[in-house]
Amino acid sequence: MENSEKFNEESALKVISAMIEAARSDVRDNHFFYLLWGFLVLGASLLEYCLITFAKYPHHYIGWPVLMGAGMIVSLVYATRKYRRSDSSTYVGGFFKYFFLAWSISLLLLLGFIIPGENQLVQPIILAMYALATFVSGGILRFKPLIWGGIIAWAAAIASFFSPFPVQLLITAATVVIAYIIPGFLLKRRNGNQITVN
Amino acid sequence: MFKELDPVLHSQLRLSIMSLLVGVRSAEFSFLEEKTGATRGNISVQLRKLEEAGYIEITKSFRKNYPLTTCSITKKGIAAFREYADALSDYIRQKPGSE
Repeated sequence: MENSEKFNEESALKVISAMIEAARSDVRDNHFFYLLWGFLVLGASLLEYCLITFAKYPHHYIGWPVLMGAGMIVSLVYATRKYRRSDSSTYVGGFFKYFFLAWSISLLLLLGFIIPGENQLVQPIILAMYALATFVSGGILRFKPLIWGGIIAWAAAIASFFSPFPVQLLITAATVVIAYIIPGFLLKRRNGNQITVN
Repeated sequence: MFKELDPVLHSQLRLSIMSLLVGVRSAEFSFLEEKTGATRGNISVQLRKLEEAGYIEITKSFRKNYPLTTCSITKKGIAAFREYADALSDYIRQKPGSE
């Protein structure tokens, strides 16, 4: 990019909006986490549903600790590598770092100490926590599919509260497709069309 | 009568750098290089001009024995950028043919 003699007011406006968008696109590039967690939760929900309904397996919950544990390890490794490679520090990135740390601690506390034994509450609380994370992310990134995903996850949490456990699992599976997987693919496509300015 | 545009900012590369820095807490040299597509030499010259105007702060350090240049916008820089953007929007609003 060289200084041009024809650099006028219109060009200046274009430069400002293109550069602000270019910096923002970096922040939006979190589709990996939505897809990872979307597919892991989808897999764990459907697996448990199948083990309860068809296999009558007593340890039907087995997919959750295995898949969620794998998800945490993959997320930690990916986030650490991404942070090391990152050559800019954004306010939004800083916010997300603290927000998701706090969110994860709260979720672990809820699942580990507050609601064990209350099986009817597990899925509604997980869905309400997904809703919180999805809605806030959508609002900060100004990405409507995530905002709608959050609203749908809240509605799913209410529906889940009044449903039997196997149906709760199907509600969770459907919710992650709408709230995580579809927005994840839309984010990926959007970042693929990232603006470049020369 | 249009407000005069800040000559320090009214340059394609300097304005690009400021537009990038206004949206981030700090950015490394490589980030500016990638996003603007400009040469290292050209970016260095423009960064120096922005620093001399007090619009940005440049921090030099090392990462794994390699020199690392990090830039961030100052309060004065934010104020200048806002004033520049206001002057631009006045111009667009008052331009013949615009609503």
